[in-house]
Amino acid sequence: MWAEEREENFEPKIIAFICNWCTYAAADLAGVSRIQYLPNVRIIRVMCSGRVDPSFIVRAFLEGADGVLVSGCWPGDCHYVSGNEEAKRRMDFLEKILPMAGINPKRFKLQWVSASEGKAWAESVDSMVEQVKTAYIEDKKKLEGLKNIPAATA
Amino acid sequence: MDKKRMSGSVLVIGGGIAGMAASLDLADMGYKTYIIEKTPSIGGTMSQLDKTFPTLDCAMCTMAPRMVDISRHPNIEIIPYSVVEEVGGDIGNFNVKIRKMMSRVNDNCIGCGSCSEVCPVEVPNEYDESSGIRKAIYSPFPQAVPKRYVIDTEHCIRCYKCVEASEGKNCIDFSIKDEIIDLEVGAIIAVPGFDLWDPSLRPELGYGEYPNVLTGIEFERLINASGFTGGEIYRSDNEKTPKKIAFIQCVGSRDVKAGQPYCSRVCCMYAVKQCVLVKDHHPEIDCAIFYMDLRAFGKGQEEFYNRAKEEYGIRFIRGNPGEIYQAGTDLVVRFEDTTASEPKEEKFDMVILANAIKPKNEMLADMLGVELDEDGFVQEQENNPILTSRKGVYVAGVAQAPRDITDTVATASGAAALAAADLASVRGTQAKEKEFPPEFDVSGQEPRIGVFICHCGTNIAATVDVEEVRDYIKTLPDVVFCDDVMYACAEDSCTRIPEVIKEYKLNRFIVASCTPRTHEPLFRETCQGAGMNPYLFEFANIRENCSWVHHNYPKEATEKAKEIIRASVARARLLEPQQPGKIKVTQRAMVVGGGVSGMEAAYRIARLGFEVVLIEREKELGGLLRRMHHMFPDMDPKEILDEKISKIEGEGKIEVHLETKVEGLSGFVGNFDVKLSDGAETKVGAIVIAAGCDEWKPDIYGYGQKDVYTQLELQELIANDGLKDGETVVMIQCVGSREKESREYCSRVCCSEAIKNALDVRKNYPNSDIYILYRDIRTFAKGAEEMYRDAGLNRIHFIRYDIDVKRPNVDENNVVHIYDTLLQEDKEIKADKVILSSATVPGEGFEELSKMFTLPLGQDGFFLEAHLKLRPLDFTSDGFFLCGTAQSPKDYIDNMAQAAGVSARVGRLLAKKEMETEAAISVVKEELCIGCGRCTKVCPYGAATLVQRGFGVFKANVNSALCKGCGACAAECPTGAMEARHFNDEELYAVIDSILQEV
Ligand code: FES
Repeated sequence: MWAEEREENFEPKIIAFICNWCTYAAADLAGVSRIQYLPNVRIIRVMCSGRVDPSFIVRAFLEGADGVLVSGCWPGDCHYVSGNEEAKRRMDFLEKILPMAGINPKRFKLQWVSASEGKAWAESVDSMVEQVKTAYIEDKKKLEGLKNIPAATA
Repeated sequence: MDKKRMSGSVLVIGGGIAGMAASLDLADMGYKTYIIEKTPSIGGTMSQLDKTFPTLDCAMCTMAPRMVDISRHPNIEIIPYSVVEEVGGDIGNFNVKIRKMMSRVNDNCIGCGSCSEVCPVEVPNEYDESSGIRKAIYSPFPQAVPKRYVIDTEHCIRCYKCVEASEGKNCIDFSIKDEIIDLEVGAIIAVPGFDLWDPSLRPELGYGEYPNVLTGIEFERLINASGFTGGEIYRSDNEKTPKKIAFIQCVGSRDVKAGQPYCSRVCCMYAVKQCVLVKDHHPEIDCAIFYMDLRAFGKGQEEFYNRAKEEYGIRFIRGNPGEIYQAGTDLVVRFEDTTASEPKEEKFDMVILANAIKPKNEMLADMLGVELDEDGFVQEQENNPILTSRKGVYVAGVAQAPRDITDTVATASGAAALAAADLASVRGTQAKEKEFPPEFDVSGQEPRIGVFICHCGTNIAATVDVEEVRDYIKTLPDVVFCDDVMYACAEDSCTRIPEVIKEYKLNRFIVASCTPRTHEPLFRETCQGAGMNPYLFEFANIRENCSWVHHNYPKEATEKAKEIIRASVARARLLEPQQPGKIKVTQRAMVVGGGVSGMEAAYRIARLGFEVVLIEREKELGGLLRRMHHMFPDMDPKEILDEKISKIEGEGKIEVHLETKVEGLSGFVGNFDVKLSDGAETKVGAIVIAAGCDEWKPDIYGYGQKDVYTQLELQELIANDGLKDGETVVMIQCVGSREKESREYCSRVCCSEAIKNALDVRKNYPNSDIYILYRDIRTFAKGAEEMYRDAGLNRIHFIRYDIDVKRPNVDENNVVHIYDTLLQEDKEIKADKVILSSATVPGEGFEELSKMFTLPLGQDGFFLEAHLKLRPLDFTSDGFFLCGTAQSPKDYIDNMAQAAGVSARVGRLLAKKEMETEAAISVVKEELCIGCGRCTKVCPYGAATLVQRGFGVFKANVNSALCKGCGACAAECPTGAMEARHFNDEELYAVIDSILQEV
């Protein structure tokens, strides 16, 4: 299991699928404004959050991502009218499935960030890193719990 | 009359950022454009800057792509190292004589620099403000355009070593003489730039006497990563890093005695910027700015100033130093801290003087006969800063008054628009289309990938170990070429890209540098120049996404940069060529907002020869102007309004819709379908947002009480004779502006508005007692500082307050309580009238418009332009533009400049009959399609439909003219039949896998 494979003080690696028009613009703005955030994130630019196929996220988790962030324009602001609504629908569904696959849903986040929110982007990365670390602790505990159970019943 | 045919070309005199911006607009609109530049390279002052305020964008990074664009543009010819000798003729047909100075280097020069290496003569380098060294044969800076070297004949000793070193290339020829060329042009844009006042004329400040007293621009070169110290800050006498630096403002500016009564407009902000840059490199250096009024009036500037104070701990001392003397190795600054009324002395080890900007308009006056004002700036005509007294001659930038880059670029586009309008009937007669070599075929080839990794000066290299990254990337499979470069976007690198593509037979190319959102077009075109399909280019962002945001994690940032580029390599392997389609452009524009800016923009666009639909929410045109009675500097708003309306009616190309809003929008750049609330439906190619601001209705300082008014209400009051002589009028500045909690920005216009209104009160009611309570007086506009001085002479009392010390207060009896920070005492003034300089706020309709057009608003609530410095009039979304107070508060003159400017931006787009459509769109692999139709449900454009292919057999189909390439259908498709080209599943999987690959 994921938590088992990670070191105690691990730095999670987070994949972020972000849309070109809002979140990527915000990330640019964060850059230009030199707003500092944690280096744990790897950005994958897509034209719209509506391009993000849930299979990308599953693939990322399978390949060892510790967290996945999907981000696009605020509802109503999508450059392609409604791509972010499609994203929301798909991600809501995915979020329900993740626990079934044994993936702590805290390792996934969908977040809207507008083009002017450089700071919000930086914060959402930092908070995602925290969130994934929390997930790690939770999972670790769960794991220990699991280990204890068979010991008690055996 | 037998009138000679007009010339379809324009001469731009001056190759600084103004000349560059104007030329690009003109050339794109279809005019042949000549740029004459006195020095060997275009670039001007901006090319000397390190970063630009307030965003701290690297100046070279933002301008280098434009320099490259210019050098490649088929309609632009740069004539460097040349001066204008004579101008004859008239609008439509000017005859210009140009002297090309003998550079003794001919067209064979490839910019290799081997001549310069062997040249034994060392001369102070003008580009480094004479601090660095250059040779007698030289190119002023590495990103110079054109790249050609010149010989400075004054210093050349004729040793001919350069000739030896360039044997066989035949590039240096000592027999070359000055050459006189004749040009015929239809219009002239003069953008001579500016000079700086010599601060040694104030000998008490020690400039020229003490080596560590520098001017602002000298210091700029010192801290510039590409400067002569590589960005290391040290004192020239003992090579030690200074511990304390003083910045002294208004040296020669706002100084009648010195000959510059005006404000130089940029010094406060560049000083703040320089302090921030110093602190970024050396947090331990103490920086103090000595100022009289801190003028942070432009967009984002007050916010920047606050950050400088709070985050960077820069000290701001209100006082004008009277003397600087050296004691040992220290420089002692003598000043009076006006907020403590005591003379003080403080030791520093470096002093930077913000010396005044001076006009450089002799050529304009002597050769073009353009009228200048008493300060030597161009006398604007008809309250338009671009118009000169000579028909067909326009100016931009600092020629008319000091300006920052944002305002300079707006006026430059404006000048391009006005020149283009004169020549509208001959547009395109001398223009050419861009041509590219035929594309080579890559099908079936193994990937051969080339990579450039950019240092971006120190923007990337200061955090990311570029050499280490380069060595790593070299080891990746399929990477056959990899190198690191100083600036990937500069002319020298961009020339190398096609060369290496050919040399190494590359079929994919990656640049690892900044953001694709600004630089992708440039590199795509560069690859096209080598015959490579532009979609085989891949961008890796290691600046915005890495070095700039991970300063404190150099090791992690270096690893991250490796992964980012590795992922790009993975994607590049799979990239395929894409071909755009072509669609017709609707050569018609819509302007939203019928205030002065909107009216002027509509008129200017019409003058370029395009139809315009002008939309106004209210019953009549005019906007805020209708509420004004007297405008700064001295204009009658009624007259202006009448004139604008008659121009709009007279033009014949403008369709006005009053009491109308936009109700629906579909389509894309070049072809928008617009539905209006009055039932009209129309098609336009471009949309300009010119919606205006409002005056804030205050809820402080007793507003709502009897006799408390805003400045606009005061104008009304004066017009209706609503004051009585002998009354006490108290004006309070910054009401609702410069407030961190609500509106952090400065409203820009209130200081000059208040002073103008105060003078109006004085004129009409000579015995009034008039007070202006202020935080900083920001009279930066032309004539405003003079008016401020005038106000002092006219017994208008200025009292300074500081909200960090104590806020003023207006009680229920209209007694104003204020703590005067200059006299350090509390005061009470019983006011008969309290006048609030209320904030300029985003118009009511901004949010609605932002939603309707999905255009971004900034944190301040104003529309967010594509780039604050170089694209203030564009949105990032193609086909959308903005001008006037939609972008930020501004006065009438600045609005006129922006309105003219935006017409050029629109003109660039509408000038083309056809444009390319998105190439990266969706396509269907029919063999995989099961005809479920889910794609048709998510497609927002109706581009995906089902077509019948047989009995009961349906297949998805994509209309390539409608598809915009968002990829929603591909994500929805359950079988993988729908492919989002250029962002297909395989590419994205490869990227994911590569990022997560274990090494
Ligand atoms: S473009 Fe940002 S979510 Fe669609």
